[in-house]
Amino acid sequence: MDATIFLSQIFAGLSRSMLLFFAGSGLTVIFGLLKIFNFAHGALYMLSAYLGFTFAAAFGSSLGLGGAVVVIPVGVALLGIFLERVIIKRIYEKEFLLQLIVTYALSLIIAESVLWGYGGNPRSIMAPEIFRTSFALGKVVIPYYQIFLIVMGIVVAFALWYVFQKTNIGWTIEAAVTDRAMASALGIPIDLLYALTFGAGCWLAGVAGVLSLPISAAAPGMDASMGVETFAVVIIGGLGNIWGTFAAALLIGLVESLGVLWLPRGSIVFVYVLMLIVLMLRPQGLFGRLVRGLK
Amino acid sequence: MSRRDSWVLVILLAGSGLAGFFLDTYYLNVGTEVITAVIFAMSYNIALGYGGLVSFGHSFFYGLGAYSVAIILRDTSLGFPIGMLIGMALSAFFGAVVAYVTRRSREVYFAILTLGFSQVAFFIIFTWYEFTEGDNGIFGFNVGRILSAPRNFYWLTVILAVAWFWVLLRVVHSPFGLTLKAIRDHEDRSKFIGLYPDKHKIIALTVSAVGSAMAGSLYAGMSKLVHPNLLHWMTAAQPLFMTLVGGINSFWGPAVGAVVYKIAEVFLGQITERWTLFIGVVLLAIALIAPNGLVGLVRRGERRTNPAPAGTRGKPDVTPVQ
Amino acid sequence: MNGVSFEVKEKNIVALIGPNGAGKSTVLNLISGNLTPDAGEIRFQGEELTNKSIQEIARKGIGRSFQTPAVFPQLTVLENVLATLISHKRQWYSLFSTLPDGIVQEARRLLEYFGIGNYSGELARNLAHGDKRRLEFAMCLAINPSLLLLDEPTQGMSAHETRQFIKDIQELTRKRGVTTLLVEHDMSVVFSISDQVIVLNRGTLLASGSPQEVKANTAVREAYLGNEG
Repeated sequence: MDATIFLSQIFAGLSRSMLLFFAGSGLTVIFGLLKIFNFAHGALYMLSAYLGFTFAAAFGSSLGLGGAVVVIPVGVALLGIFLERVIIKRIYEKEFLLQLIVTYALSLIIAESVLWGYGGNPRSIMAPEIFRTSFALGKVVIPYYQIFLIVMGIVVAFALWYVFQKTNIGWTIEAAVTDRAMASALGIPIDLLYALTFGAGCWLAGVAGVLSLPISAAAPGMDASMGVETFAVVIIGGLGNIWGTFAAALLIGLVESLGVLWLPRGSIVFVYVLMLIVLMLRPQGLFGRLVRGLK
Repeated sequence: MSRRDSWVLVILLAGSGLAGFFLDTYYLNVGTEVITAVIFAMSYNIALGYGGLVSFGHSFFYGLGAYSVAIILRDTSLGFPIGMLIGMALSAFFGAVVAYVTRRSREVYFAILTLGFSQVAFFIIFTWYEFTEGDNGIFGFNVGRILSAPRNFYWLTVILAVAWFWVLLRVVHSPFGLTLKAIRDHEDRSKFIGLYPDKHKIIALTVSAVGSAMAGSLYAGMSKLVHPNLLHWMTAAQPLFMTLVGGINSFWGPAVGAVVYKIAEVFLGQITERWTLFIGVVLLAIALIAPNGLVGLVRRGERRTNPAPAGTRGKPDVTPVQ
Repeated sequence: MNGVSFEVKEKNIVALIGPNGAGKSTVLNLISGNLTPDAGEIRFQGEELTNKSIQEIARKGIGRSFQTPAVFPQLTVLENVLATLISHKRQWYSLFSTLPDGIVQEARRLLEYFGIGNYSGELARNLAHGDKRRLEFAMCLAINPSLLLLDEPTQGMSAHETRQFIKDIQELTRKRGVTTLLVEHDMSVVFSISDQVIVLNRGTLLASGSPQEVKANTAVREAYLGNEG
């Protein structure tokens, strides 16, 4: 096999891994701390991609994408907080089926509203000027944008790990989830924490959505396809485990991009098969524990 | 089974049968399609409502039923009934396999796993060109002289549907059915009275797979077109919607939900391509306002705290669902 | 659990007491099979139970009740007992037959015995706590047990209900030869019906003997009883 193709696929796969990680980390944060499997995650990703497109297209792609990455995920996070206060807070501690219906219904509403507004044609933009060039690694040509994504992914992974493991925030939220009454008696603002956590998860999905624009178009069905891949990532990595999500994202991104070399039209099936194998051998995912907490 | 259920069966049989005399071709086909949706939803609810299994994999069985018919009719002279029976047998087999493989997986993991299964099946059908004609689908096959008449096929569908509902009613009211509900209610407690939840779930999923395959076969026979999309997980989400809208807590709920869903699909679908948005709104409203609603939507329950780690010798938390 | 070893004689009522966290529920969990010991063994009527599954153990005639009454909330009271009977008679795999009349009658008899016959059509989750507890006992009896493991059975019961419970347990022992091992905090219950009292503290066995012996035991008094009794 041609080494140049192989290498360039690896980088493409890694950068896709980062997108999967952003989205997946949001999902895993929400599940790990709030115990809700957010089926609407893919739809939020889609929303932010479309909105990011509009923003970037309005401001020209250099400033546009950068601005979009700053602004749009915050907007999505605010939407998330709104949804949490109005809807999500009613399904905490409720049975899985109810949570599934509510979040799945939300995903339908969000995704279909987006398509209603934008119509069925895919939208995409080009990477910002600075990233549009590539550099050569021997005979391999690698777009700078991919490097940027990889770096961003690692940075965010560390940041998340630091915030949740090393600072008080993670423990506070865990305490609030474990014993609501006690935490509240201690003066911890539970509602605020829950809302912010959900918002943070949505923010991460938003970042993934905007950053995906130069690579893949915003198109109908992206909520379902990205959604399912994100589910696979967090499930394989283990729900509630950030590094697990990172590892699984790396794995899946690479499996997909290298799988394309073997089965051009269906590399996604490797992901499903991988998921089946992992879950049959280790039902809680590679690094997961089914109970509580965020690692 | 209650007298009321028996009467419902009789009325369904008589009513639908009689309607067959008066409907024209277009509506006969619509009717057939609606009834296959009802069969699909009712079968699905054996797994969901009675077994407590949230599956995104039933499109696998539905599609298997459909493709069995298509391929048998295309390649052999065995006829429609054989094709359907083969589809149902295959689904029984794969239903048991899927149930066995996922027996240790709870809730979210189970749902996503079944999604994975249906996607793998979708992929296989999609890429196995030589056999399934992949993306083109199989179409134009001949269901035989008698069944080609829409009226005849419609009546066949009605008879099979009523027969299947009778079977499901018996299953639901049998000792198996009652213990299945107990397991769904409080799995840990059921172990303490000597039940084996895994075995129950495998049987429940198998029964529901067979019914889904029958629905798929009948759909294929009516539409004379099969396409890999029938196995996509989004097809599997349909009986989930239908069942949720109609109510998972009652036997006939899914039937109501299937009819409502199909009506929405046909009529709302003519107004806007985005009609599923309204389904989402309706679902959300019902879930938040009246989850135990008219037909009994979702059992109001609280998740057990500390579910035992799957596959380990953990201590099951025996706090019951309140 | 550290070096806990005891013996329960047939047709005895044995109380397991001790402060919170002593490991009393753990003992019950070990016997009924939802926990597996790292070391040691559990024997019942000569047979080894140590690594058997919950179902196998239950089918040997060991019934279990829990701190919060574990019933099937969305089944009716009658169905709760029916399900137990069906499982006990190994008829759960029957998919097409109706429920045999005999089983329904037997279920009703059990409900009547525990005084909840009037609630047979009620959903179990709608019952008051005391009635749920009685339903749980009915389910325990449905499997024709020779050993009952009860975890704080009188918790939440009124004085009257507690007295009734004491009578029921004694009758079970006398008439049906059932052995009972119960975890209890209510000392009046413990000292009025127990043939043997076992005291646990922080995972170790503190004392074991007749109620009088245990009451007089100074170590027990210090750790747990205080100056009661």
